[in-house]
Amino acid sequence: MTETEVRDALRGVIDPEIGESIVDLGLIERIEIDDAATPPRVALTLIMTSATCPMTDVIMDDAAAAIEKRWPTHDVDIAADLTIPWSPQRMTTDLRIRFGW
Amino acid sequence: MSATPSSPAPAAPSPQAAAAPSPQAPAAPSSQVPAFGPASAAVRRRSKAPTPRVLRLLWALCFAGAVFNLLMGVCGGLMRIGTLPPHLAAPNAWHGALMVCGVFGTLISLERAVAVRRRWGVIAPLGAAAGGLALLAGQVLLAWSLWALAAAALLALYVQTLRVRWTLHGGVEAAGAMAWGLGTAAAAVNAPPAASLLGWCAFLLLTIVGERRELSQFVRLGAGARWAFNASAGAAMAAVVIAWAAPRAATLLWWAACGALAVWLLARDFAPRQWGAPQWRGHVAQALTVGYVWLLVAAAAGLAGAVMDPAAPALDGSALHALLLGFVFAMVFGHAPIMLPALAGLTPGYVPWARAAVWVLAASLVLRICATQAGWPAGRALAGGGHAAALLLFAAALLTGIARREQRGS
Repeated sequence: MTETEVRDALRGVIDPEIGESIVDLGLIERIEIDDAATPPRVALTLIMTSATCPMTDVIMDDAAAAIEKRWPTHDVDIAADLTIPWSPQRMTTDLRIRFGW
Repeated sequence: MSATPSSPAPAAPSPQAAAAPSPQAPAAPSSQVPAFGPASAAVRRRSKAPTPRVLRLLWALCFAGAVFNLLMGVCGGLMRIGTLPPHLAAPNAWHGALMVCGVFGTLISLERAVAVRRRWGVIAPLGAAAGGLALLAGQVLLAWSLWALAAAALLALYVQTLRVRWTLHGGVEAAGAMAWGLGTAAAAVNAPPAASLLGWCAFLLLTIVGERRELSQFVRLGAGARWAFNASAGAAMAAVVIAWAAPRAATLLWWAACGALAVWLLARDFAPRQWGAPQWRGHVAQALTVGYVWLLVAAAAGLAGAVMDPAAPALDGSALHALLLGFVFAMVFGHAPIMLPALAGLTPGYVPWARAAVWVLAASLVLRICATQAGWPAGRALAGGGHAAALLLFAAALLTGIARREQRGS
């Protein structure tokens, strides 16, 4: 398991309100991988644009499901850091262009 | 353990992401992390443990309370418009209060309480639902007290999140909660009717436009667009305050703000651009766009009514229902399919004819406004039937979508 592989696995997780991938939107802040642990473990930190939107839990659940589907034996921890602001620089170039940046 | 701050996009590394502080601590095993409690103020962790049973029960109770308030509020509205005989006095008399505070106060507060995950947050939706029941039982003072408590608890939920990180959209939604409290206070102390009406309407309007402003940050907005939004939302809130002393001026300011926000949403929100998107995304886009048009219609009708007939009631019925029925219910129809998974864990499969509810509601609202202008009571009664049909159609579409998903076992 590498960070790139985890990001690829998360590419199919869609923000339900925007209809875009959480990877392309730049909502992934940090990926920590511990393959030496028993069981092996991955911890994912996301950022959210709103702390009062219940969609956060749906996105965290979908992200966990995407990782667990590809690495069923890994222990998956997901957190959303609400202190970090989102900025357009976090988006992929393609998405920035599509959104008029 | 390797810990790698994630680069947001290989093609465009983010200075902000690189400069962002590391998460406070490596994620602890989730079994040691409580799902609720102080640790979740800044960092929310996904809990693998189920939500405590008591809390789920309270949430379910709030939702049931909202549904009951909706049934009573809709019955009251249908009695007023002549679709149903006026057999129930309380729902007839308190239709507006039940719909805004009992139904939407409960649902909005429930959404926030579930999101913020504070045990005390359940006070907001419980108070809102109980306020409706108190009003139906004739306990008017108790109802105002419960709704004031609910508005204060909702405001506290917003303050809780804004203390972690200030956001413009959070501030606008918090202003909406304040407007709810002000509207309720106005009703309690017999202030001018416009003060309570504008307070309650602003609660819904500011909550909705705050949410849309949050999503609009993904789209590039010029300084003019940002200023226009702030000025319009600020004017709507100012109208709520001014209404206590100068209802007529407040009404004009209110409808002007509604018009400006409608134009802003139609021009800047990305929902109208996704009109032709497939499945639920297209459904959401169409419902929201139709809602924005209704907001514009409400503003035009409200301004025309206030300017042409200064002796008319502070808030014209047609304009008010274009706002509260056309705009607000279009938002409900648009957001419900994507909110149900978050609130109830139910993911409805796509139902193409769910969009019909938006159009049945729009057609019946056009009939209602025309029949009102023409002084045609039978037309108004028919329009009321159309409103009810739209609600039933949408409920049937959601239940069908949920049943289809269950049958597929996903």
